[in-house]
Amino acid sequence: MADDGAELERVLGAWGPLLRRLTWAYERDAAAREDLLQEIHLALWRALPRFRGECAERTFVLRVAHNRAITHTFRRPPRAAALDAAQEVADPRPGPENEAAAAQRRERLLAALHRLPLAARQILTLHLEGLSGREIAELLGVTENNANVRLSRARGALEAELGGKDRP
Amino acid sequence: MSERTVDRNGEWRALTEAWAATDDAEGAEVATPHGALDSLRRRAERQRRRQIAVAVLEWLLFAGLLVLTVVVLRGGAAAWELIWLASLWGFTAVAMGFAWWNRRATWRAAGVALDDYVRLARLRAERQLRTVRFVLALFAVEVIVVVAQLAWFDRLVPAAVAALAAAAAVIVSWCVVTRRRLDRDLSRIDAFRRNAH
Repeated sequence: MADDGAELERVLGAWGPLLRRLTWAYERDAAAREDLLQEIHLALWRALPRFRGECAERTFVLRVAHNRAITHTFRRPPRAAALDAAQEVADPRPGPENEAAAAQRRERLLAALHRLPLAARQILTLHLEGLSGREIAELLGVTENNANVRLSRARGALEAELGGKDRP
Repeated sequence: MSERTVDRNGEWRALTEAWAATDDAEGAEVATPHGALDSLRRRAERQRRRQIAVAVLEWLLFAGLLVLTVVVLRGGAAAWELIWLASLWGFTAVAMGFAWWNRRATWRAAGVALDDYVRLARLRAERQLRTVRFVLALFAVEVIVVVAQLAWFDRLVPAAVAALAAAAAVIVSWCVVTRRRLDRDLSRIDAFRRNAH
């Protein structure tokens, strides 16, 4: 493997927060999330020398990261998966009222996301990151129409999970 | 724009803001410090060492088979030894041919589209499942051939039977464990694809 440490640092400088948020869609446990993040960084390190600019850098980074995360989730031991599904995260941090409310909204969103199937979670996180239907379609490798149908279904499922009065 | 659309857009803005805040929840490091890069290098090095170990083991097994062949042939091989060696090389050739054939079209780049990646993940799991079936079938045929040879040359001694039984136990255990893991992986992949489409 070529030592592209500088290139990786640049990419993580640009997309690090995006990748960290992405891990929340796959893992609720902090240690498992950190482990997944390392796996993603490693996958990026290996993949970057092969990037020829066929798509936007963000698209490439997201593809590598989601693909790595999918493998991570498929191979996760059943016990870890069960624990993950059962886990409800409470935010113990004290703080001003609006900060607490924001934390509560975040936790409600994450809990609702984790009650959804992985495929729905994946497309929703892309949407929450602000990707357009066309960008999501490019990432998934499907038509824009198909991506919009999937997204609409996933949004409906998330809204149902959040429930009318529980919406942030 | 209807009132409902405005309402939903507002809700989604709030959701997007809540999502963006997940990054702050852990006091995230935005850039990768050199320490993290070192940790990545160590992880990559561990993986590389594991891959080298597997490759070395494969070459050692092959070298062992070569040495065994030379030793047997140099000592003036008996008829049963020649037949045994021929069948050993035959089985090795079949196994290597299968490994090469079974791996075709399964290489996947990390940066391919997500749907293609999941399709390839399924293909790889199917191929691994095929490997399990192949290993069991090959071993069964091998046992039949070896037992027939030993019986024909009147060399079916208890030690040979015990060795075959031990090998069978190891292979069957590996097949059961691997099959269970692959069934679990496949059901997860299929559930993902069902929900995605």
